[in-house]
Amino acid sequence: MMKQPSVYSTTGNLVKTLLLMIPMVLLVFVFITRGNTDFSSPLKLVSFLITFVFFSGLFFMILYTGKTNRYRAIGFIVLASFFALTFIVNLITMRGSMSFSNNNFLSCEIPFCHIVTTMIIIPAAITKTIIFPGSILNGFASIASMLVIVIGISISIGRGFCSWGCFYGGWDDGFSSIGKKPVIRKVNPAFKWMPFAILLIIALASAATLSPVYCDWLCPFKSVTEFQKVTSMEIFFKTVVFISLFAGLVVVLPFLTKKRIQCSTFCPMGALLSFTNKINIFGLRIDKDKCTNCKLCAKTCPTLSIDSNDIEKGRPSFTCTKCGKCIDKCPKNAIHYHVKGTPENKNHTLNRMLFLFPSFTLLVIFTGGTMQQGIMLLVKLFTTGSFI
Amino acid sequence: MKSLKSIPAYIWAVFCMFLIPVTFMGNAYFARELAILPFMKVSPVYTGGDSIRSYKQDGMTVTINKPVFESLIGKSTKGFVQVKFSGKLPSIIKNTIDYNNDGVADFSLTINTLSNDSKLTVLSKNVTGLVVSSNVKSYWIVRVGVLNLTEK
Amino acid sequence: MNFPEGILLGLSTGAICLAYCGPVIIPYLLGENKNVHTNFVYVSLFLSGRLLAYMIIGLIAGIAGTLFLQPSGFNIKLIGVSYVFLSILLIVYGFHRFKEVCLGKTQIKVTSGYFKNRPYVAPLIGGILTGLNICPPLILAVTKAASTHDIAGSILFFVMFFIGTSLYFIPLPFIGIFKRQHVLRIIGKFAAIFAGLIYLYKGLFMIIN
Repeated sequence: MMKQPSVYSTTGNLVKTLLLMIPMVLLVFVFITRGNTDFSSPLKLVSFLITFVFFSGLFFMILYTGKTNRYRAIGFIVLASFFALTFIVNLITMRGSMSFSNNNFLSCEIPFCHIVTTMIIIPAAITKTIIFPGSILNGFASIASMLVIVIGISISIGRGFCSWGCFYGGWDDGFSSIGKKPVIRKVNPAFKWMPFAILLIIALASAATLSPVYCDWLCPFKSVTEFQKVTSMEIFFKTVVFISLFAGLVVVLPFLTKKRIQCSTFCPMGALLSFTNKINIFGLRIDKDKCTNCKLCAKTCPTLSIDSNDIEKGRPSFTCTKCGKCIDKCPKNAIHYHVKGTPENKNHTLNRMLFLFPSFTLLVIFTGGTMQQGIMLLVKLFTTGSFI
Repeated sequence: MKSLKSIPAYIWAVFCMFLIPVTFMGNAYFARELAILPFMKVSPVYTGGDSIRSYKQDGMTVTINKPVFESLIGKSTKGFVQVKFSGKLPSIIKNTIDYNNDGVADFSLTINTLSNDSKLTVLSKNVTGLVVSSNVKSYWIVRVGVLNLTEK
Repeated sequence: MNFPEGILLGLSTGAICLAYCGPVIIPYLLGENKNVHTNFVYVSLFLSGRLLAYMIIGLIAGIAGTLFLQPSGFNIKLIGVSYVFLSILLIVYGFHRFKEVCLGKTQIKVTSGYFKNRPYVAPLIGGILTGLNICPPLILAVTKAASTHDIAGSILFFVMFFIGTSLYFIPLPFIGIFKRQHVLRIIGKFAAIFAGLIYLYKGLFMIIN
């Protein structure tokens, strides 16, 4: 199918692209240096330059080519990979292993992950306490700092966090990008509602037991971060569960279906953030005048957020993660980012830029530091044979 | 009318543009403000409860916390009491604890800090068993299961 | 025996009962996707099952005192068995008429005939099995009821306790306001299956360990 020419004024326009890039380049510089411009170490300078050029280049390509998802996905996968690398190496340096023991638990030093938000709401409302062994203000990923980040991101881009900021989603995205055609062509759309059922059950179970049940039992991403030391049969069983979930939902099924299976059919945080999409100012719209109902967007959507009803309504479901894949794929350029309350299917470039700035900035903030640290670790590995 | 509605929409969209950098740059400040809210404290199930009594013995400080009987509503019938041993820890800690200060010993502990072996001797019907015994940085924490026979 | 004490105890601990019973009854109400009036019937059936279970426990408490509450291998295995039955009920109910998933389409042939004419089965048995769960409020109630040393008094105390806890279930039927939301039905079915898996694990763990 012959693709229509892009509707974005930056596509193929070098001058306009470079002009609009200037604010983002400044933001990239600010957020990857974090105010520290001490480049006395050549390794630090090189890792900074690579990171700076990488993100500036990605944003340039997003604007110049008019393609969002292709370059977003590169940054997103890099985030997931480097986050896991630096997190694991830091753990091994501090503790000697990826597992945490009673020691870390009892001293309330467990980093607060954004997914825990789903489990603390009901107990916090009733018992006025946070049911997580972390620190309110101190240390890495303290409870208060992570909650501020979750609230800020939810207001700003809603479930766009799942495609532009989540440091786990890149795994799913990466494995679903391998290969050209899916082996399993059809994924039952009913499974798109499963994360809501998981959210309901874990919220109730966590309230009943005053413990973060999803973290304890289900989170597949413990495979690439930290997990409880196996000291009993129960913990061994839990370990088997999360490793199996990672292998199945994050690696195998995304590879076979080319869909982000864990994110779209399992993650309770995704379900919670979907509700923020209802109030978030950014969305996507399908121009029914241009749409030919080829349903390529529905086949392409990695999170099962578009079906025939949504195409009919002219917008994806509220589970949309705003990754831009359907926008890139649509042969008629009928799908666009939209600012709610403004005329539909107009001002495409403006609406796109207004969304891209906060979302790409988020990607830079989360990836910038970890990418630099990761590059330095990789150099260390190649030169000394060890990360530590 | 449509263009009138667009103005606040675009204003809000521009605000959202700045919200991400502001959230991260002002994270320390916003976190401190959020931490003031009444629900922003870690559950005693994880912190071990508030300290109610401490005394010195054999060169170490023994701190006994308030028993924790946390439940979604009201108090649970089962919980634990946390005892912390800090200061100069001997290789074998031997201590008899009266956690509710009623003058009657409730349990005694024998902890080998070198081999991590811990033994609990139950001296009262309130005590159910050893929950956890572990070294944490420079001190030793023990949590002993207890029954809540006084709370309603 | 101070019977208002039973109601007060139920009122003070009822939210915990809701937290324990919620994972059983809420997925069912969502999955059935009926109106508020029908949901009141279902919740009443569920509570009737709970009442029956509580009266059985009240009777045992009156006879045996708190002895049966002492943690023993037999008690724990018995509760484990009730959990396993509850999990089977939840999982079977979850797949019942859940034609959106392939296992649901297969199961229709097996169970639709049974459940079709007996819509009371799932909530009633769910209520009984959930009521047999020895949750903290129940332990408190048994301790107090057993102190009556009187079978009739013990049963009556439990009925009062049941009334106190049941008030927390009054908002549940209003889930029916969202009637005809097909999506809620799917979520309810999935939630029932997951709740069933949790109870299955708990039950097996209690039986084996």
